[in-house]
Amino acid sequence: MAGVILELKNLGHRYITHWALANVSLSSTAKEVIAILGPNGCGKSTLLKILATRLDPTCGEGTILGLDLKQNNLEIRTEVEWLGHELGFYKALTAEENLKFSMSLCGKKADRETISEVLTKMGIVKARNKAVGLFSTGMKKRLALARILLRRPNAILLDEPHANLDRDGKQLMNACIIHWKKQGIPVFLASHDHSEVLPLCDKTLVLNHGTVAYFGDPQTIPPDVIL
Amino acid sequence: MLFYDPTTYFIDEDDWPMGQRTGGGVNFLHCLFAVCHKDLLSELRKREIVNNILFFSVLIIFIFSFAMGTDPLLLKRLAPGLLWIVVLFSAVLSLERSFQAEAEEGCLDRLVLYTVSHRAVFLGKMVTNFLFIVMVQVIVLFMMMILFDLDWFQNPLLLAAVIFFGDLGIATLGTFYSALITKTRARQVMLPLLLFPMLIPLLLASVCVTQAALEGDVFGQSRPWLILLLLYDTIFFAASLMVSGPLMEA
Repeated sequence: MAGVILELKNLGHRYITHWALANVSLSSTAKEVIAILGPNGCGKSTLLKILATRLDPTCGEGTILGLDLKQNNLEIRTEVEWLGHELGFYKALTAEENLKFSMSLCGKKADRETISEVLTKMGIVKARNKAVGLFSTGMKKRLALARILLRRPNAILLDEPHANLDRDGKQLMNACIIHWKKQGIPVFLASHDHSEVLPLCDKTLVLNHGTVAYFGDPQTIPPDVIL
Repeated sequence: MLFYDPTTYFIDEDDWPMGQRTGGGVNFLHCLFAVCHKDLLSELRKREIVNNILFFSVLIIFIFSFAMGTDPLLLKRLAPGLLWIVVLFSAVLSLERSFQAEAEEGCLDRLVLYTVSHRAVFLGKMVTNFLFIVMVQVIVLFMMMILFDLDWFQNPLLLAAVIFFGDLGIATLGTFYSALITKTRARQVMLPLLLFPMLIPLLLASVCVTQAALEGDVFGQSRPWLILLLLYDTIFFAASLMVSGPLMEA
């Protein structure tokens, strides 16, 4: 299993009424950016939640960073950062307090200077002492990026990373993804908007009705595949 | 006016600030204190729980002090029951909100994904609730002392014991049910429905011990009730801790 970043074998997940994912099989060995594309409801977020160990697969098996999705939950949670639709910040706490709380639960020390540097990079250093409840969605996303930078995970899962961001915010998100790519951190990003993520990714996984419609080079997606 | 600068990310590629690569193991007590500190800090900012429960308790005590008149024997007989009724209803107001902040904006999902002990998170929440309940109880005790002319300090040790064990029981079971109903729609209705029947033995024991403490407990009549309180707390504390992990993952 050494060197395998992501391996899924017949992975499936069933919600009460329907299968969100069925027979998803793929393998990736390089530390690269993988875009998960497909229309709404095709299973992108479900797949990311399974990779983040927030959901258990109903059937099949898989590994991420060589760690089993069913048996190595704790190890995966230490290595992988998941950024879902909800960002998980406490409204009453300030940006700095939220970051300190997150880092303390990750077992990492984050001093004021490092937090200040990261918030400066994200463009929200002036708001470091403001309650997150006063933040716009875009600012919260910048804060979530700051949290990832501070945490330094070994793999990153981003669910609709460009949603609710303005032009500058999208550029910042792209800059972060490119930075992680250069750092050799595998990034998995789910999006329904292929125009935003295709220029960033090394590989593309296209899902349709919970099954793999295409997995491979983004330049060679067959025209009959619905993005 | 924007209080952020949208363009500061155009910095050299080498200039990316980062956190530590090392780390990971989080001490149980460290996590417990982090959660407790975060909850207390949030409450200090919002003052939702403190304002609600203090206003409610003060109002109830004032209403009863006017309604019951000045008969010292009647006041002494009713005081323990009244004290625990006020504490129970105030506690429900506080417990309802305990996991509400976590349910908002996916905070609970994030807490679960940290590789910290779920028991420590649960215990942190429980300690916060316990502190709120004790705070209310102490304030109510002093108010009743003034308005009802009661001497609570005939047996201060027994009084301290019943406050500790009674409040601990309410906080334990209340935090458990608060976590259980976090994702239900009618949680404001569900919490009292689930919690009150389960608290009947604890309340009976607490009222009896408080009555004994008020009378000095010269014959040691409170001992069986105190043992019941102790057993109740032990059983539910252990049971809540055991199921706290799966409860938070669900």
